[in-house]
Amino acid sequence: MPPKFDPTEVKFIYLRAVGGEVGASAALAPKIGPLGLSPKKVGEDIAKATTKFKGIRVTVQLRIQNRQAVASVVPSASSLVITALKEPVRDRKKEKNVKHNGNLQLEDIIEIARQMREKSFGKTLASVTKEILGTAQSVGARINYKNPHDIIEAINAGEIDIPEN
Amino acid sequence: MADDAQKVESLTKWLLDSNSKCQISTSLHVKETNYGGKGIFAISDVKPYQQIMKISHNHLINFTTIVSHISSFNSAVHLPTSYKHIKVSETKSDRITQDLYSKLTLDQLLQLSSFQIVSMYLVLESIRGENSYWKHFLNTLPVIDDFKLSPLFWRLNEHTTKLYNKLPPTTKAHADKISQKFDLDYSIVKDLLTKYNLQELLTKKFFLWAWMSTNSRCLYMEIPQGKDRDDNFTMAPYVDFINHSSSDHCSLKIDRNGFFVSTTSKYVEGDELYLCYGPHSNDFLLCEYAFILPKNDWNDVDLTDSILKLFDEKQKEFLREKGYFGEYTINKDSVSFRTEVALAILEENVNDLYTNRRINALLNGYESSFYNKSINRRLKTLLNGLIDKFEEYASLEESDDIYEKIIGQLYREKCEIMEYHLQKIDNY
Repeated sequence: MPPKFDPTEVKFIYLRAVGGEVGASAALAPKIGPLGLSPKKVGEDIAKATTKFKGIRVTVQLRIQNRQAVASVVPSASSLVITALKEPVRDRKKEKNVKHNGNLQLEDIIEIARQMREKSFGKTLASVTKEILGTAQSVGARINYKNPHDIIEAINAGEIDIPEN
Repeated sequence: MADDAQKVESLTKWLLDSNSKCQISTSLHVKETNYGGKGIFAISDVKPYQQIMKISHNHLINFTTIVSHISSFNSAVHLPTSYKHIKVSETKSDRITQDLYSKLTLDQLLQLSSFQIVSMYLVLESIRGENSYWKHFLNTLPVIDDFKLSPLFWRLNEHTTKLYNKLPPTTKAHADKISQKFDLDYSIVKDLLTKYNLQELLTKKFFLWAWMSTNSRCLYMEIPQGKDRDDNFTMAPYVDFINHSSSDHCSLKIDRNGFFVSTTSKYVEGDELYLCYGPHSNDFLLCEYAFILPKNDWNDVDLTDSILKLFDEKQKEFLREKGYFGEYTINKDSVSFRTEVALAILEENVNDLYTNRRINALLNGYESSFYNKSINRRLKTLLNGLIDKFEEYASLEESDDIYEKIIGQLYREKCEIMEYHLQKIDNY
């Protein structure tokens, strides 16, 4: 018989969803329907849990336990960087191939690095910051009006100091 | 009760012995609870996210420690390295060690499931009494009367078999499953002991005590030698005093140093510490652990039997294929999606279920409002039928007999859930 506190009783499902929108639950339904959860209701729960990331693609974690699902956003470097850009909310259907060519302060990046530190394998905050800078480069953002990679090189060369934590 | 306190004290002393590497926070105290059994209370404030207990591997009873201990009496057995971290270094000789432990082979032990080996070991070690390494732990295990609320116990006792038959159908089905497992485990252990002419040591009542102690006190832990998921558990002294609550709870962690318990919230003096055994309904708790909660958010009503009657073979086939066959429940917040799907397909032509657009839209989560009316109508008939049957038993709650009272409560809780849904349907 199941022992107390059996962690295998809890199921986790991860998916990418657009924040604040009730997405297409077609991908979700075959997984969660047989667990007794209404796909429509879970879709609404996901939209509610991601309102902070409106219009941005985020990774959502569903924690399912005995017909109860709890949705939460898994912090990911790209969604945090894009949120920090504070772009105006766009209509995804009308605008395609959105570019994120905004500007961020290095302090913002360090703040994101602090949030991501637990997930990262980087030893110091500086190395995590460099990871986030790499993400910023791939997203297309600029840091202190410079190319993010220049900042990485400046950190490597010791010209910019990143605090310990 | 003073006697009990002494037993707990000697257990604590045994655990905190300087060589044992166990730790128990000084802010904890074991006390009798007013609802029966022991519980762990804070005697001074405890901060959140603080480690409060550590039990080393040598003080846990599980498959690994038992095999390691029993084999230490048989010089012919050479244990693989996966047992090396366990050292139960007690080798006092008595009848059981001479006649059984020194003769059991590793193969014989490995054939047993965790449940069989742990229950057998509890019986044998309590017979060894003072000689046993575990004597302090064994003394604090519950006595057989503590399990009198367990349906398994009712079935084996002549006076209470009538009660067993009064249980709600789902509770009874669960209890039946447990009884079958118990009977199987009993016969396997008995066979093993018979080979060594020791079968008279193992009375059914004794084994029942050990089996129920194992079932109600085991905690999840991965066992490297385990054959399936059910083998993954351990008994942990002291940790097993923690009672169940469905909300606030402590967290557990296991690594190579031992078994750890930490708090997740703040406790002030006098608070009881809880562990959440899992998202279990009162049916489950009664069958497995012999208690029920006065208020339990995980309670549900199972409609499977009444719904399955409504299908023909083709519909059943469709449900099986889509993964929606069986387990039709409702709980206090909502109707399970499985139940909704099952009731929805009754609306459609049996022959074109696979191509039916509306059904596929429902299964894919696009649209569900079309069926609401018909689902509600069918649910109403089902629930009204069940309520009539259940209400008759719900009045047992007024009884003075504690067993009948519990059965009554189970029925009443189910009736309350059903009434809530009927009201919701009427307001729709």
